[in-house]
Amino acid sequence: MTHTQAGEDRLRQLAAQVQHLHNEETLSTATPLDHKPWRLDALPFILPADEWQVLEQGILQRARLLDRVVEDLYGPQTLLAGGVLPPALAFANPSFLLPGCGALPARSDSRDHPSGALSLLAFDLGRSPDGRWWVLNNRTEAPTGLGYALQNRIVMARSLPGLISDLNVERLAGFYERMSGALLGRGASIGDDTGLAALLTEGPGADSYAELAYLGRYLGLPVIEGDDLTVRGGDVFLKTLEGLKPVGAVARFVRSELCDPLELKSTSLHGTPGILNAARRHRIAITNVIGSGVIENDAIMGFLPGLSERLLGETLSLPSIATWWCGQPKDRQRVLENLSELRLGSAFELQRLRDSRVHDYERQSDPQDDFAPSATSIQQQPYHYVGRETISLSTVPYLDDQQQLRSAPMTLRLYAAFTGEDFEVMPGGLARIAAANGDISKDVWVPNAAGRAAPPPRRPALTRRSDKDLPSRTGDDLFWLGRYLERTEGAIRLYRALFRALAQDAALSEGSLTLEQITALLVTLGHLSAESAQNALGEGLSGVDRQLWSLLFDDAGIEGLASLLGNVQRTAGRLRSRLSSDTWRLFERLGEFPKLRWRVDSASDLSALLEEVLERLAAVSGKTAENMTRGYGWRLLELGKRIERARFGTRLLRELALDPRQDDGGALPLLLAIADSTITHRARYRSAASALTVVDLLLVDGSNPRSIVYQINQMYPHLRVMPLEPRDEQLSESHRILLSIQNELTLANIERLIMRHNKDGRRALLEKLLKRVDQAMAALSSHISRTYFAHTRSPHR
Amino acid sequence: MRYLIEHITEFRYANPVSTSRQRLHLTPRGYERQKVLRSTIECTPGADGRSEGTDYFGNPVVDLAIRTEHRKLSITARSRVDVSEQTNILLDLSPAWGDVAAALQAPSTPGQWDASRYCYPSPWVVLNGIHRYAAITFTPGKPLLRAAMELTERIYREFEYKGGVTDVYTPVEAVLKARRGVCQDFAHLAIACLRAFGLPARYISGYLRTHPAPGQPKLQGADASHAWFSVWCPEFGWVDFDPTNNLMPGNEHITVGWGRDYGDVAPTVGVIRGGGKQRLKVAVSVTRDDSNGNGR
Repeated sequence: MTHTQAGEDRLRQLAAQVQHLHNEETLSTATPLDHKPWRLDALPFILPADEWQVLEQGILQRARLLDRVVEDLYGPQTLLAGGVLPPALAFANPSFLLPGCGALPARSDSRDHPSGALSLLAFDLGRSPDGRWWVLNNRTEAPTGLGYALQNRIVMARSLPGLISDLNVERLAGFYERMSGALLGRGASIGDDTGLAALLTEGPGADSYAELAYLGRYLGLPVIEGDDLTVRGGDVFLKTLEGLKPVGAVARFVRSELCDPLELKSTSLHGTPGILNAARRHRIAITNVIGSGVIENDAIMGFLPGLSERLLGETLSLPSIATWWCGQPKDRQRVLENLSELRLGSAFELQRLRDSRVHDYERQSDPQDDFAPSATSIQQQPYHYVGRETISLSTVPYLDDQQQLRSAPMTLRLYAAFTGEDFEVMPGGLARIAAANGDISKDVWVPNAAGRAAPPPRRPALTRRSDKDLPSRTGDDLFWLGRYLERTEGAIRLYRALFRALAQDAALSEGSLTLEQITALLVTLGHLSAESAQNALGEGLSGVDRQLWSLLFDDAGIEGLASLLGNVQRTAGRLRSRLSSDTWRLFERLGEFPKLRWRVDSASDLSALLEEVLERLAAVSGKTAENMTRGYGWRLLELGKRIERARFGTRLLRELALDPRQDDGGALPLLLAIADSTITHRARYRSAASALTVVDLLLVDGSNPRSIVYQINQMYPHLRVMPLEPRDEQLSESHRILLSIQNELTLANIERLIMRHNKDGRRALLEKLLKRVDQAMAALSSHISRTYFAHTRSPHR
Repeated sequence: MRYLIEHITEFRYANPVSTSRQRLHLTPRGYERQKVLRSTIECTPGADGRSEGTDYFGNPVVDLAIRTEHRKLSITARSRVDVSEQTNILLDLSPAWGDVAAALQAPSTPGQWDASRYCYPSPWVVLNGIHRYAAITFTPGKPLLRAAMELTERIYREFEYKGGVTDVYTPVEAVLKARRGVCQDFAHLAIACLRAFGLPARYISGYLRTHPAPGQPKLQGADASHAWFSVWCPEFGWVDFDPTNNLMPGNEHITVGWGRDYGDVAPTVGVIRGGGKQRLKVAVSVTRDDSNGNGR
């Protein structure tokens, strides 16, 4: 077949489209730790039906076999005790975790079925130039890439809908559905059918988080971390905003050794203390079982044919790449005699998907490698080493950066999942090629063979979950996102107003603030350390001016806007799986702000830029809230904003409205400017700002959305419907806090608060009232944390 | 010999602890040479959750969950235990170590299979850099138990007993270099030497009698938890050696539990929320029980 010019143009067009869609969907921008995304090739890898059937059967057999082996190693250990497997394979293997013994999921019936100790396996395969397939490795620990495979398919289906249906390419949806169905079924077997199922992850810091978040959203399963779970009375619960909910099953994507700091690595931050004990008592099914990585290595490869005969009574149908494990005297001899022809590797450690490369299988050991053990170390601890034959992989075509057709060797990753009674192989996968500049993945197409039953139509969507199961940690993050967003907005208004004040100061206009007042304000509002303030003041106007600039643009500082935006970004990053890509992009743009200094030449540029940031903030805030269902999460976001705004307002008033001598010195207009109420004031009072009008407007005017009483009025309806507030006549702690401060503000006599001064001439009554507001907000925040996020007892009770 | 053991562990925290989980290896295990008549564990503040079981090695474990806010946690374990002597062992009658190591690569009896689990590196006993030191003792053909005794003597002679220079995280290789440490370092070192030659060695956590019998010297490690090691040998089974005191434990060593290394039988492992800086105080007393009680 020859390529016509038109064909090649069409191909380039297609490639551009695929890349465009892939960028749009791409998972990798989803993590705060940006990994270079894999490029998705426009050319799928198509597996002919007959070839697929052979692979499918082979993978199915391996999945069943490996499940058996894991079940035995963490169960009766008959393979070890009976001498079928040498002890070193388990006991010299750091991935064999003794505390995992006995923590297998409950087995329903006869031993004829697989146990599902492994719920997800992956296999990397290579095809030699003669067309034969070899298994390069078995992934049994916590295989990654399922989210990527899904994403690839979604992009390809959007780019080539006609071709996919013409070729009758097998759909993937059924596989994903049955996999999550099995997990849900296991979950429900706990707690009288109420047990939840979830994906357990290492959180946003982990490489695989983005794809797991994507997967979780697709499957409709909560994506949680170890800290979301708590073990109480032997059972495992998800800490949710509605209280503790029983969890019956988790699909584990946390490295085994990190799962339970009580019995495994004690320094783990990703674990749930006590969860192993719960698994041993069948109070939760953790799959893949903890320690399942025990057979994710090259050492086991040579034993698989024998194990297959013994455990399944079948010949192993898909061969593995040849390996010689030095833990066996004969194999050791062979490795030592053929060091130059083999690739020498660690017996028990496999590289992770992202780090493993196609040419690991093609290249022989290289003395330049990090991994080049001496013959002596092989003799001394032989069980740590394995020799592997090298194979050449057949090549496939792909399009490079310039959309030119090239070819490169490929590996294929296939998946098998436990779907309730047996394993099922995903009719697709992830093909990877090692191109000159970075990894490229391909979607894998399996055309439906004629006569094969069409896949069952997609069941109606999985049960819709409400905010009921919203993990407490997510609530916590939303609450703080609200607070940080509001805090940042307040800070920008503050900086903007101070810049203006400073400009006036330079012009020596009447009624302007002194430099001391400006720095004092920054210090007491927590934006500047006393030391930095002192240094800035020492240099006069230019020093203070420079300090303000650095608060705005210094992205290394621990003070200032960059650190506030950092808090926003970090918190939003943890919520990544709940934010739409649009919203997330707004967050990313917001974070770019400190880099925009180059745009500022003059005071008016700065003003315009700050205006823009405020707009971006408003957009982020609005978009976040707008796209959320009006559930508990949204209410917590709102509560966080309101609490923060009330505290900010309170502290501003304490700084700028307590001293009557400041009233004529620019404090009141500044106060109005920072509180974004200048225009409202003008409209409401039609007169110059006085302490009376300003305090009235900012403290107790229930119609001003910037006033403190307004924030408190807004909080009440949110708190009233939160799930853990008492429903009866009795007032909860939070209601009491809110009602009492609301009453106080409503009944306050502002004239009296303004007129009454104490001995130092300050407005003592107002000061006390503001202090009580501040304390009430702090108490409310800590009540919310304890009740909804930590689920612990109050020390006072 | 009958003993009363009291082991008090006290944690003090700078900040309040809201939840605490403790996994305890504080209950002595019974086995051929030891009978546990009674064992209790109490804690203050009281536990909201408690479960008892055995670990992979068959040691008793108690798990506690405390959800009452506290700044001080104290755990008291009290036991009454009967211990008998190791039978007189003729070290030179044991088989050559090389034969034992070879047999355990493909175990063929339940005893061998049990022992084969202890022949390899474990989280706290990494074998790097150990081989050369061990090779001095493990010369070809030497009877296994004779080699173990020589190793015990060498460690006793060549290493200084000194507290405070190592902690539970000090790797064996560093102890070997520094030539000093405490009982668990010496036990780990001996275990590493044996395993470097593929021999089965396990870590024993336990106690020593606090006040020696009249006329006997006071042993090192008597006022806290003690540790020593055990070697498996065909015909003889598991045989204990104490490199800290250069002897084979008799009826003055009380066993709490055993595993591959300290990590398998650490007396307390805890996960707490809050707390900040903490201070730990441990007090152990082991006294001879002359009462005629039968354990009640």
